[in-house]
Amino acid sequence: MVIGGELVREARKRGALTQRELAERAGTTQSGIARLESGRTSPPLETVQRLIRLCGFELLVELALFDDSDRVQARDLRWSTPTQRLDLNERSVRQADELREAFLAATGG
Amino acid sequence: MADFDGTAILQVLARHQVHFVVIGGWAAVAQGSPIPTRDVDVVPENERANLTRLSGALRELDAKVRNGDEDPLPFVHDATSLAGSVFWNLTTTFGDLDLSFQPSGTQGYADLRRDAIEVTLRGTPVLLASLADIVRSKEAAGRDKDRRALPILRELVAQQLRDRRPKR
Repeated sequence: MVIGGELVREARKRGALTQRELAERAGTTQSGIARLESGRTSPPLETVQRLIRLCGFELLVELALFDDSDRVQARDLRWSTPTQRLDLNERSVRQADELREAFLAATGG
Repeated sequence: MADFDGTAILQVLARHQVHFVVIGGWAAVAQGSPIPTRDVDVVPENERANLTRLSGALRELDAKVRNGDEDPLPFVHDATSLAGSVFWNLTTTFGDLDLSFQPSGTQGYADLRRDAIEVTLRGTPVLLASLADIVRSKEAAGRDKDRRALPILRELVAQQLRDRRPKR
């Protein structure tokens, strides 16, 4: 569960805890927390939930309908440079504005 | 309404030597998010000399306060007034700019600076908050538009972790 380490890191930072402080609460070592947060180990969900609780938060899990449109677009962007991605963003925003203006002109809005 | 050009806004801030980190959807786009955005969110360092520089940059950008569908309101500012503020929704000659001194779920500039990533945009170095810190902030803000972005942003964070892991 690669994402589990990231969730623990997020909860720890939001709880303003150091890795050492969280390790003390959890009865483990600072290096163990660092390893988990880096994604080098894949902790079970129960461990992730426990560590997040020790940071003062609750992990809520829900099922949602699968929609991979964002994922597909992100995959296409993966090898672009930041400048290329931002240029595309600004073109998308301009196109959305043009579309909105065309819609307003067509509907007399 | 001015065409949005986030990089141009940041170039003015950089030219005035403002210390800042970019967070939010725009910084996420630069790191691979497919969700377009029409404003740039900036977290300035909250030190007096920096706020004086920021005030100069905002004057050059002709920053005004966004006012929904109404005309923007004049924005009178200096280092003292900026120091006493938390959040500003502004409009500038290059589009919308949000200033936030302590975005939700973060401790502000120093906190975000730690893991920020430097990218060069049109020759100007700019610090972007890490995707993990953007996720932390959006999660804490909890608005609908933030929640919608979270699944793909979390996947991108996980992808970054996988990419960084040494190959065996």
